[in-house]
Amino acid sequence: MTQLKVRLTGDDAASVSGAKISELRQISNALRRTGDWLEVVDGIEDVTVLFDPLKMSPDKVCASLMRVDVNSENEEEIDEIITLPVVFGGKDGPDLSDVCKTLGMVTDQLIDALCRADLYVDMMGFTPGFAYIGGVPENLSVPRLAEPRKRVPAGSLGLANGKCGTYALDGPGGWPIIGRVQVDLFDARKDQPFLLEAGRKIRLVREGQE
Amino acid sequence: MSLRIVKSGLQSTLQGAPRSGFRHFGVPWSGPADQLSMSLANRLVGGACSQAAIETTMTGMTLEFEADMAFALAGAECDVKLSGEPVDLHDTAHAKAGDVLEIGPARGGCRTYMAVSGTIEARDFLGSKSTYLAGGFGGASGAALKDGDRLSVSEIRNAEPISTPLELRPHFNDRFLLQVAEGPDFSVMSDASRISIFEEEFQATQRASRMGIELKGSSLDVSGSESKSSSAVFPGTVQCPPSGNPFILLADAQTTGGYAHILQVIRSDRFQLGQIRPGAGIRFLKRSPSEAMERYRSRWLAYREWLDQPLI
Repeated sequence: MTQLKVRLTGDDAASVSGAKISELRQISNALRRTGDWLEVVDGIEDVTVLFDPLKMSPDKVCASLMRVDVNSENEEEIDEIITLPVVFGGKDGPDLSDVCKTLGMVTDQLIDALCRADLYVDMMGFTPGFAYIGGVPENLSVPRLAEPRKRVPAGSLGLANGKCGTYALDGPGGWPIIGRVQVDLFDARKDQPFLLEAGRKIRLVREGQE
Repeated sequence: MSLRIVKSGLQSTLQGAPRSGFRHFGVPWSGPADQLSMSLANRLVGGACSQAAIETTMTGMTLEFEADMAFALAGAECDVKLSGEPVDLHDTAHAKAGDVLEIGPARGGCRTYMAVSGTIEARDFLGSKSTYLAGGFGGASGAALKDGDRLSVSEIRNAEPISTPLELRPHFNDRFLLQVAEGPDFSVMSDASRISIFEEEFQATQRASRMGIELKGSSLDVSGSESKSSSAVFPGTVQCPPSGNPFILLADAQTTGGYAHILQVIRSDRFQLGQIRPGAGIRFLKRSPSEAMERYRSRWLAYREWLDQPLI
């Protein structure tokens, strides 16, 4: 594994970076198994832990992060592909045409490229069940909106910085919205309320456009 | 049925322990926006710091007791009346069935907490009763309290009348000096912004909720941060989108964010974030991580005899 970098933020958080995302996910699983941390949160290029500064000194925090024991025997590969039906454009995807303009593509090119791609959930975060989805073709990278929206409806599919993102709940959001997933990504009544989790494979399927 | 909401006010929610340990699924903590004030209110009715209590916002609220019980208030200062008789914050008070409690508008600060000497019944979701409005879970049916709602209170116990020691009572006006540490993206700010952020007084805008508060000042220069990878954020994180107006994140903060994480409000000062209302003035005071830990330790030492649990 590559040389890890550890960085302290304020008085109760520290992050580890300098490894590939697959290694980072092993690290976060290993850190969760220790039970030493209040939270272990995956980022795209790092893993951040939250600790109690009354119980752990920064030196101890940095030392335990540098020698995290990555034991891969508990790792399970989840191979089943989750299919997400999506309506692209129209009121469900208000930024689709702007995104296509930025990319110099017609909408069908963009939609076909996304629906052909082998996508996977890099990490969950931002809001309950929000999935950062990797595997997007490299030529489809657009920036976030300069000004976040106050409200993005549940099910919205965003595209930014070479990732797709799904909003499981209504809420504020800064990603350009290109479509809307037609199944519930979050259902509070279920035992497992989140449809997606880190590591799952995803396939987008185009539903009728408005 | 033990509490009837007569007027719910601008936004009143049930809050208890933070919903911790699920941030990697994107589940925010929730819990009180001002954890210190809720802990102090609970202490006065003999409850644990994180026992569920009612958080009111700016306008206060009115409710009727349908059973005898003790109650106490802490947080933003306001006029409080129990069936017409004044009640002070930070004192245990006793209500009889039929009494009406009027919590008036906050004079300074934003949120006042009301705790009772019993268990407020609420739906438990992922181990917490705290309301998360955006997700529609916890609290009273996952929503803010509405006029006419009833909250059951069980296990009502006696509570000796006590008062918060004067030196432990926080006071809130509408100017805040927040101690902060550098965030991981502090250096993406221009040289000028890295200086001005500690010199200027920012103003809280109307874009303020339990998730976060937008600040306005002379715009910060974070050009070059548009394509940062998403990374963990927490209550107390100060993010800055390319527009240059920073956001401070509160109890309902999202778990990750892609905007530049320029500052982090330190543990000892995070309770104050719940008391920032639109229009309030905010200044930042820079602390090193070790200074921040020292501040937190000394705040905890001050409260240790009085409260059963440190603040996070």
